[in-house]
Amino acid sequence: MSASTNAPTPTAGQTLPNLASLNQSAAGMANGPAIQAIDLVKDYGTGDFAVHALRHVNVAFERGRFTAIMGPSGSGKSTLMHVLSGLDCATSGHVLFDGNDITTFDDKQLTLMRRDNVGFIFQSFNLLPMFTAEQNIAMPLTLAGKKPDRQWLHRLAADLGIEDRLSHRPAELSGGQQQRVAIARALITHPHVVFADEPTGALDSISSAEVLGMLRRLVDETGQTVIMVTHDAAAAAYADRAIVFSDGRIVADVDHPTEEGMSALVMEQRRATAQAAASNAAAPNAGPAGL
Amino acid sequence: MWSITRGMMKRSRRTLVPAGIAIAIASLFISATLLLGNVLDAQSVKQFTAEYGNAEYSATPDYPASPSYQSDGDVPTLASTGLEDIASVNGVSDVRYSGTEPVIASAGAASSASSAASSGYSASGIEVSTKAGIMPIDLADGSWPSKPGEAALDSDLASKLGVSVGGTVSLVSTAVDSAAADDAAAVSPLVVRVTGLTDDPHEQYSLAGGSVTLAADDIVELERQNLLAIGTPQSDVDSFTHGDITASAVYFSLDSGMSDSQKNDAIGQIRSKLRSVTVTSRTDAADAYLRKLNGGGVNPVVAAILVFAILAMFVAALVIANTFRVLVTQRRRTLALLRTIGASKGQVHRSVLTEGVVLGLEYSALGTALAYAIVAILAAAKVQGIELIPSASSILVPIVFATLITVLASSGAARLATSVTPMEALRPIDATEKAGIKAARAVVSVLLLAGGLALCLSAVRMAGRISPSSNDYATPLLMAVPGCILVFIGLVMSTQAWIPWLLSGLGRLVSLTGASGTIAAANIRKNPRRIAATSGALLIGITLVATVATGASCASATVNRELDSHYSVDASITEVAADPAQIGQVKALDGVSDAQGIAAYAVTLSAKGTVPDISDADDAQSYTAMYVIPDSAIGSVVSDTFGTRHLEDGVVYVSDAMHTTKPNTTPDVRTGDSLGMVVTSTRSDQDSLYATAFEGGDVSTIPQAQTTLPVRTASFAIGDDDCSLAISEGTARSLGIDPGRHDIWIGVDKNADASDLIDRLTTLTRDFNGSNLTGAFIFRKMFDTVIDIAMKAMLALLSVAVIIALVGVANTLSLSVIERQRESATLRAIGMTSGQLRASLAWESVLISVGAGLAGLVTGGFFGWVGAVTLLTGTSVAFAPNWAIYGGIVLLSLVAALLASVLPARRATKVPPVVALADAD
Ligand SMILES: Nc1ncnc2c1ncn2[C@@H]1O[C@H](COP(=O)(O)OP(=O)(O)OP(=O)(O)O)[C@@H](O)[C@H]1O
Ligand SMILES: [Mg+2]
Repeated sequence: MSASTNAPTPTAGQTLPNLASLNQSAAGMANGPAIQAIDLVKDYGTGDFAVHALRHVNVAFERGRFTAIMGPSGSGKSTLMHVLSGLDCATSGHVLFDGNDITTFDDKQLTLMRRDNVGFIFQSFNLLPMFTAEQNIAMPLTLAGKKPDRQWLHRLAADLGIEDRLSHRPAELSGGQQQRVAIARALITHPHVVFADEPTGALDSISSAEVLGMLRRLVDETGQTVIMVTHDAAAAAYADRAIVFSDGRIVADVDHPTEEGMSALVMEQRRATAQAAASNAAAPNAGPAGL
Repeated sequence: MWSITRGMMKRSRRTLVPAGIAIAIASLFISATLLLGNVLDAQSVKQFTAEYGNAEYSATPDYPASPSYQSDGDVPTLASTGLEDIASVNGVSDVRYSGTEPVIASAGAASSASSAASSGYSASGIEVSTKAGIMPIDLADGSWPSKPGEAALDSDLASKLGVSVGGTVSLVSTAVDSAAADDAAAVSPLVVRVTGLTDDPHEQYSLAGGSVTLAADDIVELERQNLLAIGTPQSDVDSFTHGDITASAVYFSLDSGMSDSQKNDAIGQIRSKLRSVTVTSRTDAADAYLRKLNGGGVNPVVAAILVFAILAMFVAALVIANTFRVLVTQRRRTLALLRTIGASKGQVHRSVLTEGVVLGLEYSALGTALAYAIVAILAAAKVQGIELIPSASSILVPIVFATLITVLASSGAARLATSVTPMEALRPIDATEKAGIKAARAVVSVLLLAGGLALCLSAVRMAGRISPSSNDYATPLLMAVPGCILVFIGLVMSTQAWIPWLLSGLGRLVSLTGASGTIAAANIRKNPRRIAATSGALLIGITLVATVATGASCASATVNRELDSHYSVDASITEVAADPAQIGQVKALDGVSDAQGIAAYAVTLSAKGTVPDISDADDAQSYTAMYVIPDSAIGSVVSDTFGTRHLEDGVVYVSDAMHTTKPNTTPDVRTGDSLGMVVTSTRSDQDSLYATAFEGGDVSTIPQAQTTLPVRTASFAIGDDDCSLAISEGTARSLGIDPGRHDIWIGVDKNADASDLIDRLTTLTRDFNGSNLTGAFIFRKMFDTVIDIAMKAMLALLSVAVIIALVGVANTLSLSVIERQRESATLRAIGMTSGQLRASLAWESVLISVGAGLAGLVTGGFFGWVGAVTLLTGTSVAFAPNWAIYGGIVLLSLVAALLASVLPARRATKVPPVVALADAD
């Protein structure tokens, strides 16, 4: 945050040239993956009725990269994100966050870690209706008992194009504007990792393109680590890397994905899952089928 | 639709629990009150029908109301009224004549009536019933008398006489005691053998000294003794029979095997034999008695408690209404969906009301069952005076009433439900409530507030002017009560307007404490309606508590101040040497804070206020005591009511009761006048002064002083004499004669037990020869105790409403927690610790409760003061804020608020953030 004082003046418009010098906490870290899952297992329920949402997942997310996670519905994408971000605990395995194993953290430590090092962008925005956009953006800092860095807040707002909307309540904002407020909230603490679960799920195609473009620039210009879950192959095309999930496992890992390539991959996965489901119809804990 | 209603109810069962608890508590209260009423009624009936014994019927002569007796002057007798014929009617199984014969009972066989009369105890001779089966007293030992010469004695009387079963007792009519000697000599005592001992559980004969149960012939014998003792000729005495006994109620039973119609026939036959006699069954008599006692309605005690129960129900109604509103809001989408697929408005409306009926029935039945269980347990534990007397009303009234209230309370929500349009299923809704109230409601509440305040204030002004003895002393109170009620209704009606405003103000302060406070304040702003209703419920309870507490403390302070001026000395011992040893002994007593010897003169005053002329018979004069009060005594053994702690020299302090209590003989002097007096050392000097003057003798030999002193009036009163005077020690020295009388004045420890202290002082004073103890503190204690008991009883009754209101706070919080699941989860996800979440709920709860608490304190304080001022007209009422209780209320509402937030907070933090996020989607 102290870096913001000697930052160059921001230029107006949709580019984010200034962010590179600002977001040092993300950019200036040591080498090694930002976050890493080791033999991660997550089961819901026990015994015969257990749902295996994650089956021994091993994956590392490098710093400064934009990763998309794709896969059929119910394949465990959200679950992976929740466990990686410390929202939920793993059944077994480890999550290394900046080298710390967060599966050993207690609730309080997890909360503080999320507050200081993780930014969340949700499909349904999840802004707090009783606070203004500005208060919403500053909420993680308010919770930490800190005063928001006003310069940083206004730069974020300006760059996200919501500067004139700061005093409005969420109910008075469009979906796209709400999602930008949510993005600003995710970035206000200079988090190490931003998790986005279907951030464009509730937006029209133009707003989606804007939001995805912003995430892309964020990664390019500030070296922010972003992990995004999406169903949309077009959205995945904005990412540096795409991971395809199926039935709790990683089934594909593609660098520089394209829309066409990802569509084909996902279609193929769906077919495979449907076949598996058909042949395992009698099995109680068969993996959930696609759409 | 019913199956859908049931489905929705199942889902919201947990949500409805707090509202259900509110209903259960209120109906428990009502049911328990009615059960108490049953006990009270049963006790009075038992007392009333004790005379019946086991008899089913009574036949009571109408004398003296009947005109037939008033004309001939003859006293009706058992024969003349036909009462004696009852026994001969077919089907009558047992008859008891209730007449009593005053007797003197002595142990052993007395030789003469007069010796028996002088050595015995008075008692009441009563006649055993024909079959000894319907006696109003119980046989404790032995048997009932079966023939003349036998008697059953009250056990207490027997032990006084020192006789037991088998012993001998002599009985003479009480008339012997006052009879002429030769008449008394004609009477020979009735000697009887004791066959049994009796108990008198309803104390019917204890005032008369206990009962002696005798055979009918012996009762006649006692009547004859009575006639002899008053000088009746022997021939008349000999012809006196049982039928000549003065008519009094006859109790009888019919054969148990008789059918109802046979019984009716028998009663008809009896009635035909009677003249000016009313026959009633015991149940009819008891019913009529209760009707008379309760004025046709419920027992007055029960009615008073029911007022509090209804209040509790009203508070519960607020809680219920709140719950249903929230439920409907939560269900808007479901309801809209139902409307889309074809449910009519009426169906939606009925569905909500049905839920109200089910909830009301379920929980009021639970509350009533609990009331029965509690009373049954208390009765089983043999708690004094408690028994379980079930009645239809104690079951039906709470259930029907509570269900009705629940339905009424849910009707607002039902209307809200019908306003849900099918469209809402399709587009998202804005759940934020709008603050503020309808214009009409605002106007009405402002009018009520203004009118009520005006009434209160004019009542207060009027109370200051009216003297307590004037005829319309009650008018201010009669104005103040409706005034306060109007203000209260106005306040409660407009809670939606001012509570959100008050709470957002407090919320801003709380926001300064950090993130939890900020979020709590924001949440409070989000649901102004719900919060206002919750706070409003608590406001009602706390206002009434504060009203009672303030009223009681103002009344108590005022009465104490009045007592100070009427009883300026707590206690004093007069006619005593008042030497240091005695003073030390008094001081050493437990409960005595200080004791001092005080000297006093006997003074004579003239009605004119000048020095009285002893020899002038036309000069109306009065005598009083003039106390020499050292400054050290003021505030320690005499109340600080002189307006100063230092009595000035050369001034006489006159009680201002002087010109109000004895206007004829006492001088009418005020501050600024002067008062002449003749001062003597003692009352006996004063008496001899008069005696000498009356005989025209020389009065100068009697030590006396004549002086005229400037007057200072003060409100004090010492001893029995309201018109006492007080002077300083310096003034006493300047009079030139020594005071002859010395008292010990005692300052009493305010917390000492009055009756114990009286006992100790009495014992001590007995040792001081010829001295007298007077104690005013007992009055003070009495007033304080009465006010204290009244206050505690009312607070206890009000506490039910407060408890329900607190359940309401917990209810609102948990409803909000469920509703805010998604918001809480988001906050948890972006870094709110579970501690912060808990703290935020605690803050929210504290804001609601303390906001209501403070507003209730202010309003209740005002009401209490107005009440005390207008109740105690003419006296300037001390405004005595009861800080202890106010602090207690704030502290309690704080603690209760924190407790109320515990369960909702546990619920909110138990859910992991992911689950909450998923659920809410
Ligand atoms: N709280 C839970 N309890 C039980 N099972 C759960 C729970 N949450 C998720 N699951 C199951 O775990 C599996 C993975 O769920 P997850 O939400 O991660 O899927 P997803 O890939 O995010 O699907 P979508 O694309 O529909 O969001 C699913 O089979 C789901 O039913
Ligand atoms: Mg998902």
